[in-house]
Amino acid sequence: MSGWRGGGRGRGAPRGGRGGFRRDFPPTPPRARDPAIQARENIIFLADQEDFNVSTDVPMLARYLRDKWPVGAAPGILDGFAWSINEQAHKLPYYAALLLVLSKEEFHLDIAPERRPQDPITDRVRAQASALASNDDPFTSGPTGGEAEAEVEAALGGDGGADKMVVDGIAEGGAGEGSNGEQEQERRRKERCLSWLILQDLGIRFREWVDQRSWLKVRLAVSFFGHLVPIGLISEESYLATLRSFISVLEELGGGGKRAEKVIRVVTEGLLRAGPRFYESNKQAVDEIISIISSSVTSREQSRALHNTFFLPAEVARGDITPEADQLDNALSTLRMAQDAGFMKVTWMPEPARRFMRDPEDTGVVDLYNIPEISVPPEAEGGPSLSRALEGEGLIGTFTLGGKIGLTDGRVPNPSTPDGWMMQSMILDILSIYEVNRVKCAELLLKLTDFCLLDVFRGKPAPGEEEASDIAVPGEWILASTLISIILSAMFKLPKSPHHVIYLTSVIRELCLANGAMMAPPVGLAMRNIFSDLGNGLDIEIARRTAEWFSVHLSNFAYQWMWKAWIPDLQLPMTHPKRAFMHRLVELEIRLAYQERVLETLPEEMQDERDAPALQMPDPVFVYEDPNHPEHENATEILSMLNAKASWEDVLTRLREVSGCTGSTDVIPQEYRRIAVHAVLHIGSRSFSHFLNATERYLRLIQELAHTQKGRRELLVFVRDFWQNSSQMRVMVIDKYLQYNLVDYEDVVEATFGAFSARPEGVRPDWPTVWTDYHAWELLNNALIKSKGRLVAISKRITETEREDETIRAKRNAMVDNATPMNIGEDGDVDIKESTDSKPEQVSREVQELLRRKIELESDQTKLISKVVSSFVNSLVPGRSSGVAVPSQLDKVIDGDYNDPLVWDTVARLGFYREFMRSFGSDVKASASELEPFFKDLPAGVDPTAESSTLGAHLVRVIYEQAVTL
Amino acid sequence: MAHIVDRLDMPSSYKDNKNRVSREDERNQLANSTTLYVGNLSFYTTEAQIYEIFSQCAEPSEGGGIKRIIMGLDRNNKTPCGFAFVEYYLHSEALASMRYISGTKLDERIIRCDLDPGYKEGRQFGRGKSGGQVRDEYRDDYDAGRGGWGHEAAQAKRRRELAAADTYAAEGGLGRDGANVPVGASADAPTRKRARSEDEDEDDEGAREAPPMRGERDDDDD
Repeated sequence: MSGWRGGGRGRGAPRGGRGGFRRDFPPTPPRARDPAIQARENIIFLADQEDFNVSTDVPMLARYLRDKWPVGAAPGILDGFAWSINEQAHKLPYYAALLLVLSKEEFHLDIAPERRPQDPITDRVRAQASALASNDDPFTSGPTGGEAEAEVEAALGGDGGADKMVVDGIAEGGAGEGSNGEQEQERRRKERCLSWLILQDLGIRFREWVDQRSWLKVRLAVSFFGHLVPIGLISEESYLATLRSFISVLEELGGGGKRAEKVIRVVTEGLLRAGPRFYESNKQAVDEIISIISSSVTSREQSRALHNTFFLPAEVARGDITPEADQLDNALSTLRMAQDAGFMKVTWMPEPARRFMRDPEDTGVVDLYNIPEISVPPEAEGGPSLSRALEGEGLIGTFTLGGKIGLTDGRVPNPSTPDGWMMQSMILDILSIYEVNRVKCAELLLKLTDFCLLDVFRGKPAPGEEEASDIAVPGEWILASTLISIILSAMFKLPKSPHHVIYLTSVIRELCLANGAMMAPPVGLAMRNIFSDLGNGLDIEIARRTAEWFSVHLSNFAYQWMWKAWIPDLQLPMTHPKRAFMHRLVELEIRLAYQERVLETLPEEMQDERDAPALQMPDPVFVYEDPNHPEHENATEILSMLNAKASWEDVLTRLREVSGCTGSTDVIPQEYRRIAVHAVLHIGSRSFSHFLNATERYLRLIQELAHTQKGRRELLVFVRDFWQNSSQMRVMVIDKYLQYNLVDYEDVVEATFGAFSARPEGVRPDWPTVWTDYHAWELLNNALIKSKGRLVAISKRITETEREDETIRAKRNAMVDNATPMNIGEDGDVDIKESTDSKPEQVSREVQELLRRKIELESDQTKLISKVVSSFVNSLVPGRSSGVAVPSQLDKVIDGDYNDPLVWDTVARLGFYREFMRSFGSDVKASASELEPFFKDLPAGVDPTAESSTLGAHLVRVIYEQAVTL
Repeated sequence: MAHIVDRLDMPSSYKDNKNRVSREDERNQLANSTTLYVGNLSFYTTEAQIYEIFSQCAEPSEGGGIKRIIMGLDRNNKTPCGFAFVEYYLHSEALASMRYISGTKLDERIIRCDLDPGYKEGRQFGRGKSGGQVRDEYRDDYDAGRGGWGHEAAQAKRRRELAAADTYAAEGGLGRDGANVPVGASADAPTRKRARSEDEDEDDEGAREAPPMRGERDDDDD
């Protein structure tokens, strides 16, 4: 096992263990003695061997499989193919070659396998037949009875033509009907062929994958079938029909919704894999498919420009809202380019099957398999959601920086070309499939060249090629640049990355560990490229994610970074996106390490500004510690009570006494509430556990001190003051205060836009604001996500409770049914009625309570969204932002006048407003009727030459409208 | 999906000899566990650092997050001894940490995570003879992050050591007698109105039954 470094004596060893290395090695895999397991592994490892030789190894494996099939290896062979096709996107051409070899006469079985019940194919077909016959699949049009046989036959590849056969003895009730000696002979002849048997199994699995909406599996299966068309294993007609079934989704009312993107990708890759001969003989049909894709892609809403990675406020305000090319635009241009070139094969993709192609003069019988008909199911409503990696697999646009493709040096595949599209797609698929093991993922990515034709990737540009055109072609690509560029583009995908940022971070870490000399330069280059675009329109959310990634990355590599290159930027005000990013990065590093360690890695010039907020030691500020503080004595007394674990009532009573607050209903003056809250925070300041402990012990005290809306909002300010040097602690404390219900979500919004956004008196004009230093958004985003999470959690609980109710009800009914005969003659009828009615009602009360709570939460969520929207609008629209310490300077942003350092506060706030509209667009859309009043006074359409403040107000409206029309 | 590659989020074969439940029961506990054992930490690593890295796998949009962190302490000195428990709200968060964080660095050490059936009082203490983890009893290499040889420790490290000792061993420290381990807020806190009247219930729910004792993995790791 890679990465396992032994462990010496474990505790399970007879002599006991101590010390040693990792204990978390997996259980020893079973010895592959089972022929099925052996066969499966041999298939999976095809082409992985160092000395792999196509001409000899593929036929050798084919012979082995033929020999082992009759002796129990059949299930392993079928699984081996299915798993490899689903999980080894980089080796599809090799499996096509193996299948081609298996189709040859010399590799046929001596006799067709008997169809026994335990035969995997028979089992699957039987299950399929029974499903079709009972019509319990909601997504198929529902053939019943005798039609089921035809369906089964289709699944088995019956082509309805000269080769048509009846699969007797398979479908229930089908035995004997319509069979005759010739057909049986024909079936037996075909089923001697292993490739035929394997394709039958794949065909059935393919239908299952389609029904399960396993899009990644579906796309890879279609791609694999695409390889089989030109080598004569699959009929062109059925392949075309399959592609058409997917395309039909685009012609549905509404254009197929989210499925549109997935089917376009399925078809694009399917066509590219099938190659020139398929196009030539089906030109009209393929052109038609491309035209349907074209109208689907080009008719999309322009408002998707909200997802652009670059945002230039003045241009958007003046009506230039051109969306950046995304994966669908790339798919379309790829298809058009391929169409012009007659769907020439992808240049870098190996074609091992070529060596085994039949002699054109060979007149032997070729059995073309027909892919079973499929019907693409509608989008799942409320069903189990796919994991993030599978839901969003492969979604990525073209991220270009500095006019070059990608984020590194431009020596990367251009995804709007067939070669580039396929390479990008393959890398993204590997990232999705290997998400369960980042180490293996990195290993595979680094040896990707093994599965491409020679020289598609270079170590570095050939002499004189650096200054060649910006768009590299295969042969000019650099593997390290390509991997980093694609991984980072996936990380920065807006509105949401298909993967956890930390997953992609850890893949980059593994790549760098495996080959630092090769991988480190593009990582550094990407970072520098991103940095150079900060302040030039690069989206602030991308900057935020970059800091998140890079801080963890550096913490894995001894915090070594070329900070010196950024010294000239220290001249910029601290509010500038570049300075803000530098500080954010340092701040996140300090969170992961400690201040002294991080500061020692910074150049002197940066250390000179030790008073900058981000560079502070993250210690608490307990002002009452100072003996000269007027409230020092009172605070010390309260603190000692807390240290002595006095009850919350006693503390409250004493607090009332010292504050002179005699009436039990009188509100304790603010200063004394602050003393108490700071004292609780102080005893909890040593660690996260101390904080939780103190909060849990004095929960009631804090509740009493902050039981009004004003009190809660002041509580947040107390927290801000106490942890003024640690943004991390502010975030943690407020997060837990939300969890403990000490503050409301709306309180956090109010404090963020109000007290936290205010500038302390006398502060330097270029000092960071809570918006430029990302902190306001961190708080706001946490609150919004957490609020949404409550809804998700309660919905899950409702589903679970309903399921439990259902189970209980079913059990009870069964018991009642069983009990009924015994009760006949007594008062059985009455008993049954009572027992069946009463209990479910009792259970459903729990569901009712949850539903009631859900409605409450939904209403809270609507109010929260409304509060955030109004706060953003009021703080952004020029002239409205009264009461906020940093007034909006959106007019200056439109004018491009950045002389005042505080203009960057508006830029950051606007950026996060846009991010809010992107991330919570569905909630905004759902609350649109409540939100309309905030926008009705803002100009809807404006003359591009209008005043800057008018354009600014219009811009705020445009961003909202983009969100609700997406 | 993942037939052809080993998953990184499988629990180890570790079995605590103080845990009285059967293998089968323990497997069931692990199948839904939200708790991670984190090993090979530096003695100076703080809970805030642990929070920062492990919150990267939190899924607040699914109702998740870090519920609590329990720092492993030397039984005698009540100072951190190089392991911790991180408890999430969701099982999927613990699995994600196994996949993405285990085997990467925190505070410049490679940390190891393992699924854990759940914290039980007493498990926060080391089981070595000298109070720390057993693995440190027998370690014959120099390890500055885990006690090393103090005379070579740098000034900064001494300051951190003092701070770490102060956190858990001094008056009011969590390692002292009578100190409680926080239960962490419930995932599904009721509304404010209900919180006032029913907060006792809420606390009870937070302190839900933990599985029987299972010790720290004193011989974990490199």
